[in-house]
Amino acid sequence: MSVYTREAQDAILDRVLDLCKGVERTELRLSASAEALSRFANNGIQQNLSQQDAALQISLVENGRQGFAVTNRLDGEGLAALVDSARRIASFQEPAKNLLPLVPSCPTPERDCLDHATAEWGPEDKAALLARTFDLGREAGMETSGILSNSWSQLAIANSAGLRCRYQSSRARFSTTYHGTDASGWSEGEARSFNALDIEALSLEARRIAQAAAGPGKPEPGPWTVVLPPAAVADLIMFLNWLGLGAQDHLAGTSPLAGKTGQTLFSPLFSITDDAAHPMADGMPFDFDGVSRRTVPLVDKGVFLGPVHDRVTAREASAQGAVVESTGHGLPRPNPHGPFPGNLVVAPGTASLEELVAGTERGLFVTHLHYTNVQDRNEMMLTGMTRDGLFLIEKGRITRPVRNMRFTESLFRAFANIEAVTRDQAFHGGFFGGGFVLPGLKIRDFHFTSESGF
Amino acid sequence: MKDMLQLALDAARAAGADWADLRIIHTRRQAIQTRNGVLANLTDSEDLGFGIRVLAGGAWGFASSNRLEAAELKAKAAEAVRIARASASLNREQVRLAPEPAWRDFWQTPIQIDPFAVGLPEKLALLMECDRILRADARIKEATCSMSFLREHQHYANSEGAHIEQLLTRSGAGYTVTAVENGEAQERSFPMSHGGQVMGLGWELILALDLPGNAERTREEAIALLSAPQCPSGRMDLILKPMQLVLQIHESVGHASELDRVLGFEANYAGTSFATTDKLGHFRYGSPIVNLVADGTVPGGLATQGYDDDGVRQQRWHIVQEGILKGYMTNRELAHRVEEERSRGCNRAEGWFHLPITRINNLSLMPGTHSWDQLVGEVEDGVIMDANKCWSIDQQRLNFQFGCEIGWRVQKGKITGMVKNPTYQSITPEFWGSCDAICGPEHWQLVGVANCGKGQPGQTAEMSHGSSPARFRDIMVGV
Repeated sequence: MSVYTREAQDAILDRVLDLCKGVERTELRLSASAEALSRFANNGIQQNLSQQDAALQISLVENGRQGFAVTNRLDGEGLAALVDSARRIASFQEPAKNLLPLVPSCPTPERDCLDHATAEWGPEDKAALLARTFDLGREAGMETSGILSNSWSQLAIANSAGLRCRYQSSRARFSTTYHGTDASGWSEGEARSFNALDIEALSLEARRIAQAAAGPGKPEPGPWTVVLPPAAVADLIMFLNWLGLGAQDHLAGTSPLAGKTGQTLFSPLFSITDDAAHPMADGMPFDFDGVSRRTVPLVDKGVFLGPVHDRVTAREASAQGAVVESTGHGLPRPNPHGPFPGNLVVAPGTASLEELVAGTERGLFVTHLHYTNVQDRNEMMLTGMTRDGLFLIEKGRITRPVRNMRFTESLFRAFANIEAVTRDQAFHGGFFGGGFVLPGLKIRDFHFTSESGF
Repeated sequence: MKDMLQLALDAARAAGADWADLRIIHTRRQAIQTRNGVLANLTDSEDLGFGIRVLAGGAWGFASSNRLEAAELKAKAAEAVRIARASASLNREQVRLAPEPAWRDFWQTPIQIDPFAVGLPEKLALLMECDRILRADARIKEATCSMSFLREHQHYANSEGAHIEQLLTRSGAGYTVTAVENGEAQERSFPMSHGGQVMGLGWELILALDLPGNAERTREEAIALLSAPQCPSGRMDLILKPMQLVLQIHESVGHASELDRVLGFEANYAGTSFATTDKLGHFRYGSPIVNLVADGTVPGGLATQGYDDDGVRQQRWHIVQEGILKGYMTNRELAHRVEEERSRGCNRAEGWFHLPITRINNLSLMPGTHSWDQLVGEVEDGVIMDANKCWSIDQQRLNFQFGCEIGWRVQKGKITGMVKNPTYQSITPEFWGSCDAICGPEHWQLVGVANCGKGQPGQTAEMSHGSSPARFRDIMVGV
């Protein structure tokens, strides 16, 4: 699990730039990552692994034609083959039109979010911590499942105009489910350093939820006021991001938020910013083009302010009349998605999660969501399941568990129906586009359409 | 290569492994994509590395690396043993592997035309021709056309003496158009959504798909969806075509029959399964005409190969027979948990980087006897749906809700018109229990799923699902 030193990164990048001296321009992205993960189920470790990879992506222009190639063979032979492959690909291309000039430098060329002790965390240390998780399960007559992992990633970008920027980070992650006879409870934590993870506290929280969820009653599909902790909010924000916050789909007119910039679409309690510099985010200070990431307000008190841009969409938008610059949200090119925010921060409110429950006459408390997906892009209609604890709220108190239900709800409606936001935020790694810093939300008239029977 | 394999296995034994296997894999991929008349991606990628898996003290350890060098092989073998010992310190049960002959063999995907030998100009011209036809109407705001090719050269060896070399080839292609009018967007794809059709075939697949010949119809259907009425809401009969049945089989039978899920190994993430082992042999999964067969040997299947990543030779068996749950997707570690003496050969990993886990094999709904006209003609009030757009299913694989790109209303035995945004929802055994007719073998199609995600760390696998159009009575549609 050894990280690449600066010198090792530079040696690879310089060698390839040297191999490319005869071509008009070269862009390189060197990525490396490793993860060690202990996966457990039925109070035992079922899978335990350590994996490491690195890759170099090249984009070059020769005789006006552009070629891309990728390899994970970083020895001399592999690098030479990479350059040959990109040149061969370029030779088959039409001359590239409208190539953007290379980014020569980045004002914030480095960020180091890597905790070396976390990167090197060993399997014995993790096993010792998991022993307590398993014991807590056995004490309660429950099975446990989950993961405990440590990982690191590095990115170094260089081009033939002199750009060189680097980013590295580490993550420690624990996720667990406690399983009773007819119910389960779940909790999860993630941080730059394993020292910030309280495995026992997270285990106790999952066990508490599983115990409270035992003996669930029959639920009633229909519109409900819901209290969603940050883990449940994460699914909704992830799909808002994917559907509406990148400029490419806006320019094509295929985004459900296209043409709605400046309109009040959501509750005045709802504000979102993309902020890679947020202290909980550990975000990259530049994008994959080497452009500095700006802090971009996307939704302000319910008003949609427009999507993020990369250099390509900024040029396209500018050609349509507006003056638009890249906000520094380009993904590795080539990609079919265009720019995306990677570090969304939903603004906090003033209440605690307990106060959200206390202010609810009748509603449902949702631990988290499962297998959410987009049913209708136009309406931002999602469907998904509740999971690992769904609880009835009556007269400001959680009174009893109910069985899981399926929701089918539009994000337009859900975010317009926000009634309260918690002051505490939590970080949640995103399945698509990085991680999110999120508060809990209370939403009225959230539609549940069927039940699962368990 | 044999020296490398032996060196790593010897190093694992020397470090204290009771059992070990090693996979060295060299992969070449080519991805080509056009977007609105512009070449959006043309990338060649190369990937080489190894993964070593050991048993020590009755528990697993795994380590992988992209540095295929003697010193790294030895270091990772030792690391895998160290990891296994950490696992063993907590585990109360020892891993028990089902016996399998130590095969020494070479297997390769049977192909007619090597896709990597076909010139890039020919590939680009085909995609650009499709793009031109697809965008021949101003209402088409986005057209993406793509091709992908993969060649995976695997070397597998284990400490029991197995040595298997496999050369796997996969080819895929397809396109998607988005029509936009009055703020509404509608998508249509060919031959299927989610990136097109992918099979264990060569360039002959691309030729057989006739991509240009289907582009005009695809474009016109996307445009027609903009003005089509909304799918009705209520309980009615449902006919699913193979491009939707592929996901229906995958989600509600494939994952539900993975034995690792059934036994709780995926409980924290993807979930478990309602199809528990106490139901094996007697649980009614579907109506008596429902036969679902797993088959690692079916020609063109994405999971079709000689051996899985346990070194187990591929097989064919029933998961559901005449509506009854009859089997699971198993590996060498778990076969004994359902009292089977041999693995079904379902342990697979994404490349060298990942640990092999239980995976859905090719799994198909066997054809029935109906003609298409009979299938539709016997419907008083219903909807036909095709081409998956949305999928969601609960963590026990019971409550699912699917959306499709396109639907057609059926009234009094006749197709009466197109409907948009069709959706349906049901509970797995109720749904398969309502299946009362399946079209014959002349309608049967094998369809690839090239992006099945599972596990932590997440990894993808490929498999295929075959079916003929099938009918389901009294289903909730238009959710």
